Amino acid sequence: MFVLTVFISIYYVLVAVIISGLFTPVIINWSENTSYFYFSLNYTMNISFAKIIILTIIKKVFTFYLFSCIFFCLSLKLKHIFCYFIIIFLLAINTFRYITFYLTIFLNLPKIEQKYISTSYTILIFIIIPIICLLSILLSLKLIKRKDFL
Amino acid sequence: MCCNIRNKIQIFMTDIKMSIWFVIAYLVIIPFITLLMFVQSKSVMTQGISCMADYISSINHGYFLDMVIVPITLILIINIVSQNDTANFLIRQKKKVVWF
Repeated sequence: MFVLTVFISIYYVLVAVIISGLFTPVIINWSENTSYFYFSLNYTMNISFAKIIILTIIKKVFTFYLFSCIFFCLSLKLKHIFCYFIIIFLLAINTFRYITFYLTIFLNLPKIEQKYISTSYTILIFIIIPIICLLSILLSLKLIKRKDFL
Repeated sequence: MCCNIRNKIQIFMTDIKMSIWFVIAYLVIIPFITLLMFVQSKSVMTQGISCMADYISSINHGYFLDMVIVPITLILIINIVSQNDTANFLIRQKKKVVWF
């Protein structure tokens, strides 16, 4: 499964590189004051394009692999449809953005996203995700016990 | 060990062959979805000069990615992997434990 996620992530990033080439001829301008990066984050950064691609591939592998693991763990106990619901709720609240944000700080990697995460975002992740997961798990258990799927 | 790896590669190739239509669909659909996502990103990038790195970093976050690309990729991964391993694992587990 891990090898598959690596292949998929590499393919996805390669496709993204090719398609982004259709939109702009500039490869990287994050060290200039006229760049979009400077306007959105208010600081410049000296980083090579290859590093960004490698970081993106690592993030994609991490996301795809972790979600696949969650799916398999849940599908051993629950029906597949509820696993999809739970995972889509998790995705909707951008959990992995939060995790990767603190991982980049912990591992001292260059930050290529926003500087901070707001408190409302933290509340969403620590309150809404557990409630929704718990509700869908309870619902699925109840439906399985009533044999609604048969 | 070498034999084991060869065996695993053989299983992996068989799984891909069995779900070849999913793989082809994924390879065709993903560029279109990425194109749509970048059109959306371009509409946001109004200030300054955008570059390829901006588009690449934009695929790390965003609701469009999370709600469309990750579920599609999950479906593909699950379809390929579950051809062999998960089915056998579940059968083995179900023999030992009574679920609910």
